Amino acid sequence: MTEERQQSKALVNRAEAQHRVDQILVFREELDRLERDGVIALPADQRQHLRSYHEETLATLTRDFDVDTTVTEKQMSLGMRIVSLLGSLALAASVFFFFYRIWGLISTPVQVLILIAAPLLAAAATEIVSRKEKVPYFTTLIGLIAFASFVLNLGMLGSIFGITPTQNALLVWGGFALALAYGYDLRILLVAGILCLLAFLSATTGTWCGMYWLSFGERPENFIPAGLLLFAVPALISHRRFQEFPGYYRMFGLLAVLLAILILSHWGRGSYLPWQPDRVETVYVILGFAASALVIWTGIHWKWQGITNLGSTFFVIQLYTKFFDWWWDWMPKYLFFLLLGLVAVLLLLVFQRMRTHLREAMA
Amino acid sequence: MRQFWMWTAIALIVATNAVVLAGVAYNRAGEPEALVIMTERELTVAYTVEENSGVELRLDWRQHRKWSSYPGDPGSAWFNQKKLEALGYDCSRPMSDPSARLEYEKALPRKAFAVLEYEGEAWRTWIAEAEKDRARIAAQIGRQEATQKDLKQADQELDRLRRTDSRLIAVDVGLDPAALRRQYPDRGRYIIAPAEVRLTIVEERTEKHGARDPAHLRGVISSILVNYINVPTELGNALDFIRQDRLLSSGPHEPRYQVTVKYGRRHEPWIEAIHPIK
Repeated sequence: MTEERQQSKALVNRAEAQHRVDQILVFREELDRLERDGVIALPADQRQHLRSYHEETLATLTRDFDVDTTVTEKQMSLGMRIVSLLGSLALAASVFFFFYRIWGLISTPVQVLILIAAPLLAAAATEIVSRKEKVPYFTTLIGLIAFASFVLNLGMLGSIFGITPTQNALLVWGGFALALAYGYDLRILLVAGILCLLAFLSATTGTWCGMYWLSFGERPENFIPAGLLLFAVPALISHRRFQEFPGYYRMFGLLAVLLAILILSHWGRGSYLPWQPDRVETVYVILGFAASALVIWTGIHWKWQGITNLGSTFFVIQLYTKFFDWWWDWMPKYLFFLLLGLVAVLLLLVFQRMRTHLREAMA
Repeated sequence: MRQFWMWTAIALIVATNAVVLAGVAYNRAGEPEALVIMTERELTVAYTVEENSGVELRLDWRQHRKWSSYPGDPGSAWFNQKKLEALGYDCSRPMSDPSARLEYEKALPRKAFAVLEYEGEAWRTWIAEAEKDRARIAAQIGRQEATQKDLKQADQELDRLRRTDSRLIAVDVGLDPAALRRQYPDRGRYIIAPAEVRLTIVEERTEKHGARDPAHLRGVISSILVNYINVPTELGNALDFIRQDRLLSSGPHEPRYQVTVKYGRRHEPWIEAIHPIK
């Protein structure tokens, strides 16, 4: 086995392979620049050897993982992923509406048979299609149809047989979506699974507090422990083979927590806390700023860029919505927006200072 | 590894459907928990769109006599503070305490079991009350304390109660369906169905004759959890004339069909038969 094949095999998934390709392309660009600027001059034989090595590596990675080796290919891949997603959603909707169109024309046993067979066949089709492609465009399509079919399966059985609604359906749907996500490296199904689990955990938290599960949205605090648990999943379960998955858990987990805090900072009446709504809102405003700052710090410390952006966004939203509450009714509008702009400038200066400080600390 | 996840997904589909269908079989096994023959007045064809070829019937039930009723309506006096406490609500603090009032205003809905009485004492009581109201208004016209319009409205309400409105009335709630069934043993007249209940505050009122009704707590059944019952395809033909007759489908009218509904061990309903009323 050649050295390139050995290296290719050492890479676990397409994301790692793509990262390796990006490293090679950036290295080439930097080397060219250094040579043009006269900083370095590689002997001809070394340059040729380096070029050959990189060409073979790229060829191997392309063959094994179907990676993008040019900017144009990357743009096309992005376009294909968008088309795959939109196509999946359209086909999933088609499955729903098709069943609604025909179910009144077929007997109950046939209805049940179709409802159970649809997700089974779609799951099997996902496996077959995935074996024929390295990048899961069509696999995503079929996988999402499998998920939609399973949702339809349980939803329609509930309607046909008059079953009392239960939050356990969310758990099962979430488990199914995650099984497909981990089996075929499908991000959209990972998101679907995370959202289902978030809803299940929030609803269950609500039932522990005595409420009927369908009303779990009446208490945004139900989302906070659920969000924190999802955020902690990457720390509890290793994701070496799925290096991009932890980001999704952290992002959606924190999104649930920050959104709940933001809502409660404006709707104190929706809290479990036995205080007057004004006091609850004040508590959650302070908590909102503190939580956003903590999220920003966490993102910087652990180098989770998406988390830093999330924290910054919520910090600003929290600030602006509170300004609106306090000033919109009585302040002249030009002054209101001027103040918002000045606050944004102030925040920029603060972040710039923090950035400089961090750079000095690293140096 | 991929095979493992694929088989996990497939096993999840199979296992979940097995559990669901086993639950359906359990619900429908043995003697039905309730068997009630109702009409279009209580089970109306649910609104649907052309894309949907299936048919569902909506369970029309009532808790208050008047459509504009508030929770303080005397007709629902049975859902009082004591009943709320039996459902798990803490109602021990006085209404005069501001923090208690806030707690009551924020009270969350709970799951319970509602007793729905079909064409029973509650319905006959409502008719008797409506007849008394009508007689009172008729007497007031002579003294010019009421108008002909008031009398007409009273006549219309009485007519609706007798001929077109639902006769399915909520008469009780509880947490233990078995205990409720012991209290209401007639399975042909009483349905025990899972419901969502809420606590509400009835504000202080001053009656016409000057008596003060202080603020107090009252319960309300916000929904019956299975409110739509699927019509099996095999029985759907019995309702074809309804779907074709769009003119008669809207507005109050005499019932056009009779429905046999059963409730099973899990208090989940299904339709056994549908017959047109000639």
